[in-house]
Amino acid sequence: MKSPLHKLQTDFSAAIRFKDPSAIEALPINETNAVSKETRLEVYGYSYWIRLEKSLRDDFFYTFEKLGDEVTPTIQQFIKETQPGHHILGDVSLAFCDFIIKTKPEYRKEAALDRAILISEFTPWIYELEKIESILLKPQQLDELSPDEIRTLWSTTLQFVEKQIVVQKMDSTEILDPEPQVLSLLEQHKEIQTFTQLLEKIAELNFSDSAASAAIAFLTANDILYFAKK
Amino acid sequence: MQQLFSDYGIGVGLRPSHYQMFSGNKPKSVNWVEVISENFLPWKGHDSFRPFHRLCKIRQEVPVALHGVSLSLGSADDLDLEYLKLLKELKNKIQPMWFSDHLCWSGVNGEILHDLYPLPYTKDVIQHVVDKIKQTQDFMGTRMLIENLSSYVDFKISEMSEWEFITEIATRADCGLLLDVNNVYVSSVNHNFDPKKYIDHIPSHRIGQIHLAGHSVEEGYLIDTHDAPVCQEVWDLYQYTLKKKGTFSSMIERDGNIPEWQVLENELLTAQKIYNDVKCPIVKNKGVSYEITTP
Repeated sequence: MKSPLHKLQTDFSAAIRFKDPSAIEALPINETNAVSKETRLEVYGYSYWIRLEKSLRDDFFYTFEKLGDEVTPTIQQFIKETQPGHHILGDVSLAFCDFIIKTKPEYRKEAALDRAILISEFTPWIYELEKIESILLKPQQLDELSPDEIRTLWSTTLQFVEKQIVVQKMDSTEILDPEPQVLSLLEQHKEIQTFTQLLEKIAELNFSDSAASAAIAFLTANDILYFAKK
Repeated sequence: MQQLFSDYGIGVGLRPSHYQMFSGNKPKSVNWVEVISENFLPWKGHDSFRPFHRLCKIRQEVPVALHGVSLSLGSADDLDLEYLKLLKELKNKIQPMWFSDHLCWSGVNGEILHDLYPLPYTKDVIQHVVDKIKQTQDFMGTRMLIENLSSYVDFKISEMSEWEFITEIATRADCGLLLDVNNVYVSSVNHNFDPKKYIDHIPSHRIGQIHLAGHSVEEGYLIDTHDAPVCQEVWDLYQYTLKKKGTFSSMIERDGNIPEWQVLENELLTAQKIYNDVKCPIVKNKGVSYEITTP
């Protein structure tokens, strides 16, 4: 049997997420002449909505640019159809990406790109890696390789990155300067045309593959992706 | 009664834009930092993408308190054991001063709504929350702190005041208190009570940490935005708290509009001055513009 606390919280959630009139009516909330029950609840309802919308807008630059007038209805649909079960808003964004790919496949490419950028923004330390040049997929290789070959290289990159992060965790006493050859490699990549080709190739891959994200992470960490974003 | 938690002095809620301040030569104005636990827990399928090594570096420089936002102690749902496992793993690696979360609920029926919702202050709810705090502490192997909320609603079915509610819970669960002075002030305006009465009632020995923050003013009520400087009323209430209860690890908490470090540091100096005036009144505080009013 559900407890009174469970009933109150279920009503509260319905009032906040959907402005359910019967839920609002059922809630035993004090009100004053200055501030009504509805206004008090709206503080929470507005916060819930604005927090999600702001977070998604921050994380889905390319997707929202394409969605245009569909942004608000899409977020509303996402909120309505998705169980909000993620501890952090970053995970909500990952779920939103899956939602877009499933319900609006025409924006699949942009959503996957935004997802990769999102993940990459949590990896600013990757610039510290050593000797990455020989392992990372180079943009100039993109025209020569098939999607499967690229995917394999992404995976190798990811494994390398993860291995290096483990090393970093064990030896966290100093931050390494980027190796000269890494700087040289990055310099080669600062051609926006080349980078655009890179993004297009990434879009052809399986977007759930975190290897693509890891590689983009490396590029983002070195300001290249931001350059492209502008 | 003996204090349950050590006093580490003045600290700050560390946000990513200020991580670099703690990469080798920490600011002298900060004795310790608080970080949001969830920022260092692994994403699903992306274990290695968390800036964990940054936290390790920070930990090498200063004591760290872990502050969570999604334990949802007041939810009618059971505790999320998966979340607790991750939190325990983080705690064991970081060896924090302590860990804390809020006296609230954040979702029900498996939902997580990313906010801190108030509870009705009833005996049944006290028992429910006490049981969950005890489970949490048993699982984590250490005593935790619970933080008071700022709230915009209160319930007709409440049987006691918020300060009686939180005190009863802390006593029965044998946990500590993270006293957010700004939250006390915001709720006092929203629900028309005397914030000093709240402070007076709180058991001193259970206070482990104090939060200081800013809020925004709406017509008829205040909103706890944590995105503004600490206001004079909250500084005054902080001073009142220390004079009545003693000194505790105290920190500035900013969650939005994160300012340049220098701006934040000025607030830290104000907190330090108030803290010093109570801890060791003979210490001279120079260069601080804050004017203390008599409580």
